[in-house]
Amino acid sequence: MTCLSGLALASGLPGCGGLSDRPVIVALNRWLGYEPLCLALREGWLDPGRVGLLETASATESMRALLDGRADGAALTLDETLKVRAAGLPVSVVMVCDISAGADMLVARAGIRRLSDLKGRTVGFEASALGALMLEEALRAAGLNKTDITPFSVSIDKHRQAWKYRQVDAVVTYEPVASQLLADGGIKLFDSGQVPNTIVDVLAMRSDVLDFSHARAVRHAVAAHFMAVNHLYRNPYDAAYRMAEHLGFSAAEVLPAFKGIILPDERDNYRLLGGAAPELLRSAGKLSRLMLENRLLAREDSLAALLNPDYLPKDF
Amino acid sequence: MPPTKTGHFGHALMKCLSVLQLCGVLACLPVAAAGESVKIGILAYRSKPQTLAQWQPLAAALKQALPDRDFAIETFDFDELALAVASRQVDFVLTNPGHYIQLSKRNGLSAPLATLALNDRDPERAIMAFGGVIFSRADDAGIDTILDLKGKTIAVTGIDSLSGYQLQAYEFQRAGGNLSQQAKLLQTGMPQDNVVDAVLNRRAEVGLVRTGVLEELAGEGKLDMRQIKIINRQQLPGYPHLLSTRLYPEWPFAAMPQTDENLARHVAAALFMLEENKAATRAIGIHGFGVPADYTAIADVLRDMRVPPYDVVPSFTLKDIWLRYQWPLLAALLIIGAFLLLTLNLLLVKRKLVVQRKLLLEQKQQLVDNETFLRTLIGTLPDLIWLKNADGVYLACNPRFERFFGAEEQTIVGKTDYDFVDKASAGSFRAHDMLPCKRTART
Repeated sequence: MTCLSGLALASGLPGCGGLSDRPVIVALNRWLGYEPLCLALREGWLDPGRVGLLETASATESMRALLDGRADGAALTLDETLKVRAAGLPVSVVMVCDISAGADMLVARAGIRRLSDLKGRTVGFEASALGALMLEEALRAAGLNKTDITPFSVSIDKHRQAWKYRQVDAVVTYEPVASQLLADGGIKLFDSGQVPNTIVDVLAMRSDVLDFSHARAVRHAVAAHFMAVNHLYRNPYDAAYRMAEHLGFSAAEVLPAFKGIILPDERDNYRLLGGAAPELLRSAGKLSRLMLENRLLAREDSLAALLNPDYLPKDF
Repeated sequence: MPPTKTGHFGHALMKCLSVLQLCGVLACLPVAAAGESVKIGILAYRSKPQTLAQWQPLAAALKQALPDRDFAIETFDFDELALAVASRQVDFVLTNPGHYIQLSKRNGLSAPLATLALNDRDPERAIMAFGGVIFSRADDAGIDTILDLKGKTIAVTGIDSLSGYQLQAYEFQRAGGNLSQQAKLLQTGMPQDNVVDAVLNRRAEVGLVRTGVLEELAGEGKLDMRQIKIINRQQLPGYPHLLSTRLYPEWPFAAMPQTDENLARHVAAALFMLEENKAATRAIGIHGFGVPADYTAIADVLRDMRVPPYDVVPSFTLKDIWLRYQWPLLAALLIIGAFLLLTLNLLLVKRKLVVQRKLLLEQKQQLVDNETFLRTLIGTLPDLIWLKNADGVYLACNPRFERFFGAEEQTIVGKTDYDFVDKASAGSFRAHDMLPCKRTART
C-alpha cells in the first residue's frame, strides 16, 4: 500500500526536477532481499517523487511491467534478468540486492547419507533456471551426471506433497519449504552456500534510463537500499518490527527469515559488479549456458553491458 | 623548618606507599567474598522503592540458583549508580543501554552478560526492544507533529536519560531540529512519573518517557489514556507499547571488572534460566533474560547526538581533511593558483604600462621643449623663413615673413605666392623655390 502510494506520487509529478532529475519506477515483488527498498520508502530515505516503487504479486509480473514499459527497472533474479534481455529489452544490473548462501538446498531422505548416494534416485526440482542450476551444481559436487538420476520436475508449491507421498528421494528446494522438509526428517546434502555468488537477486534497470537525466534517481534508489540494509545490520530489533507487517511475518520471524541470505554491502557490490573480471559475470555466463541447455533461452546471452557498477555509492 | 627537597620526596613516597597499601587491602578483599552478599545495582526509572520491590524477587531467584551466595538488590538514580560503579560498591549492574555504554567507557564494565526481555502480549514471546514516547495533553491543539515541539516546554527526567530524553531528541534531530536549543526543558528528576505529572498539571506542554511507562501508570489507575495523545506515533503492529522513536535493544545486565569470573558465569547462567522460574518472572513482571544484544545502535545515537561519552569532538587532523576532501581541495588550490598567477600577470602588465607612460610623457615633454626651442629660434631670426609643400602652398612662416607679406601666419598658411604678389613675381618665386628640388633630382 505504502509502496503503491509512492508510485502514485511519482506519476503525479511528471518531469519533476527538469532534465537532470527525471524519476524512475522500479517494479518489485514481496521478498526479503527487496524489502530494504520498501523500508527505505516507509522511513523517508527513498524520495517517492524520484523513485516510484511498483509492487507486483510475483517476479513474473515485475518482468511484464518492465517489458510493458510500466517500470523502468525491476528487482529480479539473475536468470529473470537474462530472460528480459532475451525478450529484446536491454537491461543492466546496477546492484545486487541479495545472494542466496544456504537458503536454496538439496534435501534428501534420511537413508541417503552422501551426495553420491543419489545415483539411481528420483530427484525433484523446479523447472526454473535456478532449479536446474542448483541441481546441476549438486550433481557436479556429487560427481554425477543428469543421466545418473531420475529428474522429477515439480513446482515449489508441490514440494511438500511430493515429499510426503514419496514421489521423490531428494528435492532441490528453498526456504521456507526447505526448513519444513528438514523438520520432517530430511537431510541437507547440498546448499547454495557451496556455490557462492550464483543465486543472486539484482536490481536491473532498462539501459535507456541509465543516462544523464535519470542518473540521480537511479543513484538515489541504490543509496536508499543501502541505508535500509545498514539500518537492518545496525539496529536489527527496530528493523525487524518495521519490516514485519509488509513481509507478512511477526517481528520475531523477520530476523530468522534472513538465514542463508546475504545482503551484500557497497563494497561487496563493487566486487560483484565492478573491476576487470566482475564475479557476477562468471555466474551470469554459467547461468546463460545452463538456461540454453534447458531451453529457457533461445541463444546464449552476449553478457555485453550486463553489469553496471556506476550507480553504486562512491563514498562509504 | 622549611621543607627540604628530600622532605618533599619522602612525603610523596609515603603517599604512594599508603595508596599501594590501600590497593593491597582492596585486592585482598574481593567485594563479593563468600558470606558477603552479591550486590546488584539497578537504575530506577520509576520510584526507587517501587523499583526495589519490583526486582527483589530476582535476588531470591538467584539465591535459589546459587544457594551458597546471598544477593542484594540496590536501586539508584543515574548519578548514584555512576558513583556506586566508580567506587566498585556493586558487583553487577542493570541499567539502560546508554548509561551502560557511558559506565563501561569510564569504568570498564564487562560486555553485557545478558539482555533483559520483557513480556509481549503473548506470554510465550519476549520483547527485546524499547524506545521513547513523546506525549502531550489530548486537548492541546498546537502539537501534532514532532516538529511542533519547537518552542514548547518539555518535561524530561534529565538530559542524561536515554529513553526519557535522548532517544526523542535524536528523533527530533533526524527531523531537522535541535531539541536542547529549540525547546524549553523542564527537568523533573527521576522517577518518570514526575514527567507525566508535569504534563497533566500543565507545568509542561510535552512529556518524554520510556515505552511502557504510560501503560503502567494507566494500569495503576494514575493516568487516563484519554487525557493524552502520542506525538510522532510509530505504527509497528507487532510492538505492544505506544512508541514515538525507533526501537533499541533492552537493558543490559553487566558484571563489574572486579567481579569473580566464576560468579559472573553462574549468575549469567541463572539469568538465562530465569524464564523457567515463572513465579519469579511474574513477580518481577519480565519475561526473563536473553542472549546479550548488540548495542551499536545506541552508541550510534549517542555519537550522533554528541552526548557523553561521545561529547568530545573527535580529533580531526589536517591529514583527515586531506584524505576526505582531496579532490575538492586540489580543485580549489588549482583555482586559487590560477587566480594568483593571473593577478601577478596583471600587476606586471600594469607596472610595464606605468613605466611606458612615464617614458612617453618624458618624450612628449622633450618634443614640446624642442618645438619651443625651434619656434623661438625661427621667430627671432631676422631672415625671411618660410615653409612650403611641393605644390607651393605655405605651411609655416616667421614674423619677419609676416611683415614682408603684410599678413599674419594663419592667413598665409594654406595659400600660395599667387595670392599675395603679382603673377610674374610669384612665378619667379616658384621657379626659385623649385631649384633645390631640381638640383636634388639631378644628383
